[in-house]
Amino acid sequence: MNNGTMIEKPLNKSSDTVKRLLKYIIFNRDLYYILLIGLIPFITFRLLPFYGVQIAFQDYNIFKGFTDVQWVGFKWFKILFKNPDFFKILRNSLSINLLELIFVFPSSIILALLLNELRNEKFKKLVQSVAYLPHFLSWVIIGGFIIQMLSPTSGPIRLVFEALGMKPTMLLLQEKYFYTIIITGEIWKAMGWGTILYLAALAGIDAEQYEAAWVDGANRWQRLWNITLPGIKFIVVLQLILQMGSMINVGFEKMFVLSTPSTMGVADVFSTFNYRVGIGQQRYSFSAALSLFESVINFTLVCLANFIAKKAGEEGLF
Amino acid sequence: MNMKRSLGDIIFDTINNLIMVIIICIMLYPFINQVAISFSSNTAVISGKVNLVPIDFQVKAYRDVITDRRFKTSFINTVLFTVAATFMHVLMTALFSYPLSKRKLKGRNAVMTLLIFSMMFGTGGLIPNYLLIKNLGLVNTYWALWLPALINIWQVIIVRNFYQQLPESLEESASLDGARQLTIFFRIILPLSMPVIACISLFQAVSAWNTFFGALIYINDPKKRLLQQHLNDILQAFIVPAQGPDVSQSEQNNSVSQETLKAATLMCTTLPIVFIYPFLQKYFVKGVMVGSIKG
Repeated sequence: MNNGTMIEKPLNKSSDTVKRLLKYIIFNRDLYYILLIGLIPFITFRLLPFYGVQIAFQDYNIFKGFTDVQWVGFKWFKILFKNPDFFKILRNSLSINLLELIFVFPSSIILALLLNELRNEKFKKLVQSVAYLPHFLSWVIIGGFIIQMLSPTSGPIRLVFEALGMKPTMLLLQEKYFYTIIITGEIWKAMGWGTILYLAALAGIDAEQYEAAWVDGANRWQRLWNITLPGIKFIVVLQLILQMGSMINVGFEKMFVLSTPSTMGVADVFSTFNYRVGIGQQRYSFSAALSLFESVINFTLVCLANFIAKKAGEEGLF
Repeated sequence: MNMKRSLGDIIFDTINNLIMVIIICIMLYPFINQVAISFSSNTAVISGKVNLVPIDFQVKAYRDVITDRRFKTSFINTVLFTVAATFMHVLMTALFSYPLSKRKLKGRNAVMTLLIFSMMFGTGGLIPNYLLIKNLGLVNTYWALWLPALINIWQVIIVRNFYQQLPESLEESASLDGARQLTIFFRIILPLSMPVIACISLFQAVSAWNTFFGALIYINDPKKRLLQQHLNDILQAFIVPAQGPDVSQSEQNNSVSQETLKAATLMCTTLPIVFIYPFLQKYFVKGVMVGSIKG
């Protein structure tokens, strides 16, 4: 009957436990083969790279590889912190993420709340469909839209300039407008897709609560405050924790596509810096140290945010 | 709910609907604007007249784009790249999730823990990955982009959850008839899983179509360039823009012929996604919901 179907085998504490285990594996070998097929790329490309992290503590030489290594301890980290650009990059990364937290994060929640109030189901679906679309566009494309629309000659921004009686200029070349542009673009891209989770949570709120509140004479705002918001609090907190976990990560593509030499002061972030230093200048150990630094900070922030959430009485991520 | 609408309710609903209409307009505006520009004449575009409707309708920009060798190369490359990436990824994900859906399989929990751990900690950084790819000799090949993307843990979870919902009796009766696991998988499980397969196929296809950073690092051969790289090349020309209406005529003409070209290239890159989108949008949302709520 050895056809590979899985059956349960009781595990006794007898001396031939290993033999039983082997029999089990052989019996179910089909499934284990399949598992193996998937594990090979997974281990190779998601676990094996961790082996390379060690070069953050070495003077890695590409010709010598991992064999003839020279350990240098925290040298690269010290160099990183002393780098004149480091503070600027840290500040930029944090600023952008902070702005996203303030503007982009709530925009999805607000949109979800508004969508939830729509009475026409078909209209609601239409708005959702349209709002999800930008999520599927790459930042090269979205950056393209931004660049085109901000063009002083042919973009619609020109109409705005002329209406204000000002001479059109390219706003993307000026540092003071850069964050506004980036955040606006991010809202355009992420607002719609972000509503999915919140709408699902909103749908899960017991309708009877609303009815009871209405019977008690609660108006719209009271219902919002007392029923709706507490109903999605769990999801919001979860999302917030996850967001905190990437507080120093800013996506490479959007910064790369939209930054120029004239805006580098505010546009340079860890991902673009790492790309320049690691791939461009081929300073491998330095770049590895930078990546490790980022990972450690991210992990710490997630744990911190989780801890704070739990202290505030909420359920955390773990 | 049998609630009577107060005046306040009616006002709120009207404003809400209005806001939604505005949001739709904002979402669609960039597309409409660029489509209009791409179909207009150069002179109309640089004088800033084109907004929602093409002026001096012409298809020259599109003709220029389609006949450009670099565009053709990168477009065809990206189509083939996307098809291959999607096929491989979906096959691998569908297969890998199958044993993981068997709750009673020994070792399953260990593997799941490994996956979750990997999800939390990322992959070690830019350079460690680069070195791995380099040591495997995959630089400047598409494999450098396909292989790391073979397993996406979110999608494994989504597919696994789906499999877990399928009745065990199906598979049991098949194995009683003597079928091996692989046969059961391909003949029974997979055909029943089409909705979730469609969902992850689309996610992967879009992700592959949008590949930029990976291509930037690993693809150096100009003949292998992908579409997003090409688009980026075309768009980066904005660094030397025309300053405004009082730039000299020849400078204007040069940057002008770029404007409609840029718009047309942008639309050619975007349109495949936009075309597919309405038909398959329901699959995306269902997939995300299944994955995030149950996972």
